Amino acid sequence: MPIEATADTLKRVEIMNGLSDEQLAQVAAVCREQVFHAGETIVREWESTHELYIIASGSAEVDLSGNSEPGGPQSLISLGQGQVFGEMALVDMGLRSATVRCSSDGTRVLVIDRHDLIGLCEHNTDIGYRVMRNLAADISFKLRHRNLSWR
Amino acid sequence: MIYKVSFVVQGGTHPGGIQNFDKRPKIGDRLELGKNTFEIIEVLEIIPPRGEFGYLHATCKPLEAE
Repeated sequence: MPIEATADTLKRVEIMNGLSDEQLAQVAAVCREQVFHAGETIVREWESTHELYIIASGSAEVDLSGNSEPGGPQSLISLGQGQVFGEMALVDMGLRSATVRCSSDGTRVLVIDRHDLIGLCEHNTDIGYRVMRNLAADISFKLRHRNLSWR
Repeated sequence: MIYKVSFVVQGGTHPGGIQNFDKRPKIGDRLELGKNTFEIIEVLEIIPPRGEFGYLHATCKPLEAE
């Protein structure tokens, strides 16, 4: 995907909120695109990988059941265009907290290596401040969702 | 404006989800989460809007298969 098109996709992503077109292009330059098919695992629970994933088109499901085998009993959260996953491991470098599978054929995912994103944030601290503030807000929103789900 | 919506399903075991929408959802709208269809029965703004993003919480109820 050309950098301009990737930057356009990033405009619709909450963790990139507030970045200028030039800053979006810098982030786009460290993105690579991967295409997945329905049922394919994108990240697996307990893995030690540290990329951030952004759904450019299509959808994925987060399996919260702890059952990493497709076809087993599952508890799912759906993710769609513009949504992000992998942000926890990006921040804390911990193991993956859930398995995420592609749920529609041809789903396009933007993948950002942790090292590249942190490097960009440290080099350009305005990008760093905005992305980290937005990441904190994203994690806070997910916590609120979890809290409301338990009521 | 992009609306980031946290959905909770009343009754049952569905964990709900978070989805982005171009249009603000309202009571009575139908929503598909995975293979299930739900009706929105409550919408709350839980965080003030920031930039181009609005943050909402919606409570849904499952719809019987028609």
